[in-house]
Amino acid sequence: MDFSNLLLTFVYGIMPLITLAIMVIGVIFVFGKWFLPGTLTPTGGPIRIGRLPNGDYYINIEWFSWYRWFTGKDKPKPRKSWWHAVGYAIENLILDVLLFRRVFRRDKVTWALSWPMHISAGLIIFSGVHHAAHSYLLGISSEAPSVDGLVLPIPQFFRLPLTIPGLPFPPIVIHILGIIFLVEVVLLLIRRLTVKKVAAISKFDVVFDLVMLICGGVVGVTMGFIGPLPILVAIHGIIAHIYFICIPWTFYTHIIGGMPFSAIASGVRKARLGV
Amino acid sequence: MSEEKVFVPVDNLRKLHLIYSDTCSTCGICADYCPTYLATKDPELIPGKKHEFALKLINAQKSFLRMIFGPKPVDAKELREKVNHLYTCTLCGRCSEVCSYNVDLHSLWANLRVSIFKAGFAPEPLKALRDTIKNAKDPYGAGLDMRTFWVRRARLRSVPVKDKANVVFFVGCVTALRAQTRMVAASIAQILSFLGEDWTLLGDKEWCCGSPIMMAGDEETAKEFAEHNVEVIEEKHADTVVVGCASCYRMLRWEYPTLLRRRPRFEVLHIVELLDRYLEEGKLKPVKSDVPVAYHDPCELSRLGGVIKEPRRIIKALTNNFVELPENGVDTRCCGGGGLLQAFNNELRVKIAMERIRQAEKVGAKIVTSACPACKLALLDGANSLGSSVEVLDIVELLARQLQLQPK
Repeated sequence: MDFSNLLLTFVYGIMPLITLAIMVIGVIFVFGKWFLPGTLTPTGGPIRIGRLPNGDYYINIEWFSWYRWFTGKDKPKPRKSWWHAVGYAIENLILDVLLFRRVFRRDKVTWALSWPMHISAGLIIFSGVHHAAHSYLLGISSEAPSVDGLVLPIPQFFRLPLTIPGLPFPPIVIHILGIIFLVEVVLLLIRRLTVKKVAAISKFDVVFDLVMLICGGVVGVTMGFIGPLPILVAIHGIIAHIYFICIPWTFYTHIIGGMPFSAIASGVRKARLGV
Repeated sequence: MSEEKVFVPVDNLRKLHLIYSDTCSTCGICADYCPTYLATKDPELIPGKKHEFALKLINAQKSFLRMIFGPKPVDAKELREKVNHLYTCTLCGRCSEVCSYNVDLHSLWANLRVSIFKAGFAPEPLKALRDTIKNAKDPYGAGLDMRTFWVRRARLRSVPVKDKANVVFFVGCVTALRAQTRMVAASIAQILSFLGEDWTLLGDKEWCCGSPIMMAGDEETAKEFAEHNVEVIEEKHADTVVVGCASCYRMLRWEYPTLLRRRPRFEVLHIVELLDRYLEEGKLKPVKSDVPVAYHDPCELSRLGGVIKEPRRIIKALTNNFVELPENGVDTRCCGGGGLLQAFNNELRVKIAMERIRQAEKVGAKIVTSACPACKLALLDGANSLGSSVEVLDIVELLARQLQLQPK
């Protein structure tokens, strides 16, 4: 086995497992922070226990109290019903999460940069490239099957996702989407660095993540032009791994948190106030 | 020399706040809508920047690692500096309204103030204000015997202070005690009497609603005030409590049930809600004018209180020339009067108010109305600083004027 095969075996055979392990730990950390009542050990402080008006105790997990919030007599009476809250939450999930309504309302330029970027990224990740879904192992190793002589440590595990078809886009469409994605991310990075108010609040992880996206995009688009050279495939894979590792540890947690939970909570708030 | 490290317990934060802390992607859109940033251009005041500090405080206590190994102290010097930024905020909630991710930043700021107050790091002027309110039951230190002083100053012959009544008029500290706003109280009193309502004041039993105490961060004392006010209102067996102040309204309507863990036995209405009902029923027939009148939505009444259509319907009954301000309704632009900014940074408050007056001038308004005494004060200060000819009135003052009610 030559060096390039060894590299690809590492990138597509071993790194996915490392990536998944780090991602899973990260997601546990994030969800632990969000959902666990109180703290895990006595060193961290007491477990939070709530008390109902009738004297009963309950463990304070905010999510379970939502229903109580709307029906309980110990909470402000909302202006609109519980069903309105459900409707608003669904509306927010569709319009704010999928179409970026809130960004569109406030800043059309940022919307023109960010919405196509996210949509093209989504389409690329879930599309079929090189006989396999790009989303193979969370988008980690779509190129793997196209490389001759690749040794996979657990072949059954890696072959399984190949049976799942991606979105049926021809390669040219994916290629165009890749170019759109790349241009948009570059413009977003320029916005980050040059618009004073945005630069002032941008942390290192935000800029780092955008740079990673640009690197991944450049390699991906290059492969679209000259084909999947092993070295490009390996670089694309390494960048993709780093990207996925970053999700629970950097500002990318907005993918997990901001999208569903805040949109739902906002719908509840809207029904409460009746606005 | 070792730097001082302190713990800031954030146990009052709810699960949603922890999610919010991880949700901001620092897109920066909030900057264009934050009144304090727009007035100062200080990047430290951008909600996205303040959010960074919030995340740091929260992660020092609530991150998964901290839950296992215990909380981590934060640098006291940095804390003091960031606390100043956190309190340089009108708590108008516009950042929540514009946030790309639906993050309820208003709730996060308000709850972080509670954490910071508990840790003893609230700014000194606000601690002093809290002490004043705790002692005198109002933010001005006037005392309870001054609660009905406005009745004499407004030359009203009498206002009822009964043991029982259907409607309680909760006047509020600013309305009752500030010279520029006592006519708001007088107008409400006149209108209630004109309508033949069975109403009463709480008199010297009315304490501050607790809103400024909550804004300073002292939730416990606010709860004491809420308990007292609810108790004295319930003693009157009133069905309805009417308030003329947006802060009092939000406090009584939305915060009291949460603070007290029970719904009080009365309905809370802002005066504009009640007057809108009466207009619809035809019980109020004001004389219409042609003066261009604009309406400034108080943040705590519209965005944070849900009362938006009612004041507009009232003004449309008062004038043939209602002009809408550019940023309005749920998207209203703050006048600077909230969040205790007056106690903390009055210069900034006036600067913010001036911008709102400029907007009123641009749309050609001769009168700018609001439904909150704190907004009226801020807008008056803004108009005076600009030397503007725009007249600033509360909506009930305008209504009383056009109902041609005379003091009696």
